[in-house]
Amino acid sequence: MPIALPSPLRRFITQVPLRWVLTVPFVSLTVGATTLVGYLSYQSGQRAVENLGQQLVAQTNERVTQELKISLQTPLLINRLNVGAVNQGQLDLQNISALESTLFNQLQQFKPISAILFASPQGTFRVVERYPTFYLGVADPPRPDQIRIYDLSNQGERGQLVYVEKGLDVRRDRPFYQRAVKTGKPSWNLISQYGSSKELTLDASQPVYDRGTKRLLGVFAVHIRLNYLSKFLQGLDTSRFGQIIIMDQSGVLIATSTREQLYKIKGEGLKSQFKRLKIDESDNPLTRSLGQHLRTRLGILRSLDQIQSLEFRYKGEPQYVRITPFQDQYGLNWQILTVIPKSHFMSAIRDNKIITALLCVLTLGVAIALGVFAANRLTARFAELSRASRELAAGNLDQRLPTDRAIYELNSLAQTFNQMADQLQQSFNRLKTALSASEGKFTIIFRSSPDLITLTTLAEGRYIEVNDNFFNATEYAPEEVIGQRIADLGIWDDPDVRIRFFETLEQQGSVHNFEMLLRTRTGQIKTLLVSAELIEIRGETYVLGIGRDISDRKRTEQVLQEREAMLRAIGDNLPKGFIYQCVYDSEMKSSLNYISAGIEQLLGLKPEDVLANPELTRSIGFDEDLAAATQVLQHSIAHLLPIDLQMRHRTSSGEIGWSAIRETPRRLEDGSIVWDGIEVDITDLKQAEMALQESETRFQEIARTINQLFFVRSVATGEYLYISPAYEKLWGHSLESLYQNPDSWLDSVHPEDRERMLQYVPQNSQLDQMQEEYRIIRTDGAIRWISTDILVVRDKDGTPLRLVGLVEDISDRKRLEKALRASEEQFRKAFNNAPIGISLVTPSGQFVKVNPAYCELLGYTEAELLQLTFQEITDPADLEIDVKSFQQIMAGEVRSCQLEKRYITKQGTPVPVSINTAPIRDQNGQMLYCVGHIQDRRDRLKVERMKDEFISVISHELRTPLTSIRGALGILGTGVLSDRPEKAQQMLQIAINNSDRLVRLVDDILKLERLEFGKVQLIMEQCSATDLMQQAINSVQGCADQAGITLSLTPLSATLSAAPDAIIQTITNLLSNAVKFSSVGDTVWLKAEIWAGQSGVGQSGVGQSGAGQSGIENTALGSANFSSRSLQLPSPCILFTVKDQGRGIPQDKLELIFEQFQQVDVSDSHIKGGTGLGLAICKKIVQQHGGQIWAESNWGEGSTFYFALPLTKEDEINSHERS
Amino acid sequence: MNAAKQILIVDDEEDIREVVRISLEEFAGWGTIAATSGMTGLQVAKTTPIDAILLDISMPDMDGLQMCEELQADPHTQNIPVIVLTAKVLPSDRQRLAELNVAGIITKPFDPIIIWRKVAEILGWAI
Repeated sequence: MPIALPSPLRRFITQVPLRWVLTVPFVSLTVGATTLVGYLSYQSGQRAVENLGQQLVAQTNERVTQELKISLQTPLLINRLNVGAVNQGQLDLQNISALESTLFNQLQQFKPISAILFASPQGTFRVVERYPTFYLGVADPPRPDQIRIYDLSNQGERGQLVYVEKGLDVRRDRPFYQRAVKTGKPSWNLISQYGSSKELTLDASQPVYDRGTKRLLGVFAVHIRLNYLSKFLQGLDTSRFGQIIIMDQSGVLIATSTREQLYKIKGEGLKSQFKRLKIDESDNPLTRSLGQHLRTRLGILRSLDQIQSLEFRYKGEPQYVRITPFQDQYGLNWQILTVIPKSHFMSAIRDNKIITALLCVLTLGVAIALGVFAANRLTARFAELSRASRELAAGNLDQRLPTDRAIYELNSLAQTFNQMADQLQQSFNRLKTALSASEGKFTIIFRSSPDLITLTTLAEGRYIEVNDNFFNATEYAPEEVIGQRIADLGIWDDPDVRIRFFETLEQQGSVHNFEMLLRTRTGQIKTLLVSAELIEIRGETYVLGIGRDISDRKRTEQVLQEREAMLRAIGDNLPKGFIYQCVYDSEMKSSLNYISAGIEQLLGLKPEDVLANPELTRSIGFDEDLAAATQVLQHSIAHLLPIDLQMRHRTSSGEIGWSAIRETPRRLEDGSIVWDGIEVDITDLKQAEMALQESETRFQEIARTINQLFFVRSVATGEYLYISPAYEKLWGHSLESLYQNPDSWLDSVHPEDRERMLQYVPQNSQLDQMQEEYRIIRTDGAIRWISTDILVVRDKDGTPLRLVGLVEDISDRKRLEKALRASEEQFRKAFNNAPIGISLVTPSGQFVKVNPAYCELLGYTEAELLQLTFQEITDPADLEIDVKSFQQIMAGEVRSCQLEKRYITKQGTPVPVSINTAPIRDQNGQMLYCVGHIQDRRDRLKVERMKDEFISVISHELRTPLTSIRGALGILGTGVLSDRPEKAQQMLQIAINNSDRLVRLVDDILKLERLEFGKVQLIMEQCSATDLMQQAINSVQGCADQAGITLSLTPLSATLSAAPDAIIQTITNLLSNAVKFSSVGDTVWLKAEIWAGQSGVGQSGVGQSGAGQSGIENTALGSANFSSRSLQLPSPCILFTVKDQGRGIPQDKLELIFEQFQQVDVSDSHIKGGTGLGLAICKKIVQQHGGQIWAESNWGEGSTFYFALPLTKEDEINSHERS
Repeated sequence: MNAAKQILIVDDEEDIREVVRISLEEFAGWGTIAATSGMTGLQVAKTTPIDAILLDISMPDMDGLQMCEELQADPHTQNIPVIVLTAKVLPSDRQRLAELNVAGIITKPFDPIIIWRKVAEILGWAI
């Protein structure tokens, strides 16, 4: 894919000579490779040397560090040995000569040591010293400040006194002693001048203590001279080209490889001051410069406790600098610095760099020479090929190239070139022959053409050749034209047009159908259609032009265009209409000549479509209209009369449109008829017409048929403008009478309403609308209720113009309203007083109305319920089915629904209800409300439960004896006991006993049932209380006798109204029970008394119980303890009492025993032969007499049964008479 | 026939106890122990090895239902199969019985000739 390059670059690339193309890449590659190799080797060499330098510096420092570690161990070791010897008792400090001897031996062994000292707190001081021969210093108490110096022989023997140093108390004046005493442990002291020598010394001291008392025995110290360190540094190889320096933490020099003096002496003699030099005060310029560099770089000094390499230049030359700290636990903190100039390593590398550069230059020269030589050979051959090609292009077709030179590819190229030149020669010859034939034909066409043909030069526009017709058209003679310039001749009417024409021609090479105005020699203007083309003749450009005179055609076209534009403007501007022209040819075939654009707006058809197919207009017309139009057309054709008709059409939106058509025919020469027509839209007009007509019809119909009367009355005149016929029906008067007398309607108004209606007739009312209800008395005497609504019609100023009224007979409505009110009242009462709950809920379940029974059942007030929905108070367990039923009602699936559910009352109690729900719908069937009736089911459920229980008990009571009977008989039936008659007899007895029990049970049940439901008619009669009791005694006497029980009766001479058989049975039952539960020898008491309130207790009863009653009797019945009942008893009454001495009744069963089948003990039923219904029967009988029955007892102490029967007035009187 | 079975009959109705006793002893050949109340029946069940209990429901003091619960609560007695003899036939009565873990229910009155068969059938005993 070609890459689009910027044009300057492209130009540059296309003009690059071959020589450059061949030479430059070759040379560049060679030089580049050489330079790159040289550069890379230089770089790697430099890096290697750099590493070497760094390693050398590091090794030097390491070596110095090792030396320091070894040499500085010695003083500390000597002190430690001495202290150890003292501690172990090997060295006795009191034995001074032995101490001296020890110190001397040690000094002799350790060469770098200059002195070993001992000082005691008492003032004993010994020092052995090498300077360079041995000396012994001695001071003793009492003159510790007087040190005597003796010579020492090589064997350590004391020689002559050499010198006495006075005023120097080592304890006071020497720091090593004080420091040792102060710190109490081995330590280094400050470096100082060694005596008056020019050497520095370093002291190591260590105190020695008594091991028992911890008392200070003395201090050992060792002096080491530091000049040996500088000598060591000078001996290192590195010192030949670099420097090695040892300094302390504050930068004070300790040793250096430069042989300089490390201190200065200021002053002379005794006043001279010894001052050690700092690194930046050194005499050596490099050392000083480095010291200054370190001082300016405070950061370096601060971090001198770690190994560092520095960037440092001395006199512009970079140096390798490495600082290594040297520290020990006794307080030494020194730095070792090694400085080596980089140039020491780099000089050889630098020399190598120059040689590499020279080799590169040499390579460059050779590469250029070779490239130029090869390029020259190639370009010469290409130049030859280029020259031959150019000759060939210029028409020199006999050019050929040699094909026997060096380079095979170039020879092949020359051969191809020669073949191409041969082919060109042959083609050229063929063309030349064809051209001369064509020239002859062209000359003939040129001369005889009816068009104007010219040949002019392009440069000057000079006529070279024109054809004959040119002279005819321009009216110029040949001599006036040939050789003249177009501009000078002036045949172009507008020079600007001419200039534009030629410019276009020059740009495009040709122009076609260019319209120009030509001015003839006589000034006549003609329109010409000109085409021209540039042609090349013998290297010069000419214009070949051809023109055609179109003046006549132009004129005709112009007139036509103007007419058509006018017509089109008229047609297109017709509002909702269009014009057209249609033709019926002599064979009566129709076609459209023209149709204006308005047809689209009117009929929804495009003009071009209709022109193509005129039948389109028929497709949207109506058949009957088209048929009528055809008739009119035929008539018009026959008589050449204008057409004027209205037609309907269907609009695009499906509505019916109306249009009016007017056409005028004329017959043409060829026999065809042309109609010029116009069609305009009259839909609005037609619709208005029809609407008016329809409205009028409808109005008349309404007015005639409706029962309501309406009228229009002028406010200004008071006259009726219109009254509908219903007036006659309503009022019973003629319309005419009201037209004549507008107020005559008032005559029929009920006298009670007339006054009101007289004022009602509005004249200047401010109201726009009025409504009134009143009565009229018709001619037949009937009274009707009338409602009148009046609307006031005003003009734009608000002045009333007309009254439009609607009058209606509302008698029926009034009657219905009254009936409805009454009905509503009835309904309201029924709703509120209904014994069942009634509610009205919305489709969402919201209560809208509830009656008092509903509220009472649910414990809510009406206001509270109206805030709730039925869903909220329904038991959640029943909600789903309830809501489902409600939805079925709403959906109309069921007409009503009955279900049983539970509501939750306000107090939270569930209430079972049965609910009937039915919808109330509007006239569209839409549900408005749901009415619900609820009934409390609690009573019913209770009854059902009781019934269940009763049946269960009865069933059980019946089945129990039946089981025994069935069992006993079944066993007998098998014959299994046939050989055991006593057993068989037992079985038979079981069957008999249980049969009797069953009979009694059934009897009692029936009796009770009859009593329960009032089926037993108690026939009341006056009975003697004593008789009743006696008869009862008689019926149980047999049993009592059999059981050995005494029956005691307390009679009462009183009568009462009662059913005797029933009361006898009651007493009998009570006595029978008493006998059953008594033991042999017991007594059962029966007693009756009249009860007339509490004060009267026992009045007659006790009184008449008679003397001779046993004490037990009196105690038992004399004052019956029934005060709890007394207040509820009817007064007066007869109180019967039956008392026994049986087992008694538990307190919790005193009430229960009067219920059915509620014996104190279940086994009583068969043991005592009871049915469990006796007391229930008694209770029923007493209750039916209006009396009461109860029992009192203490468990184990017998029981007392009471029943009280009320006395009537008659009873009382009878009783009194008796008494 | 398995003669080693020992049945406890608990019923407050003496006649029924007698009828059942004869039926089981005469026809099935099982031994019987009779108890007149739930309390007595419970004591017997806890102290005497028995194979099954025929239990009446309606009894004073401790009824059959309570006795059933007591039997269930005691690990010694909870595995003794209990067959209920009842005259209660209403659905509500039966519902209470169904809640108890009893081997079977025999409704009163019953045929004394086949009661032992019923008991054997309920308890899956071979006869």
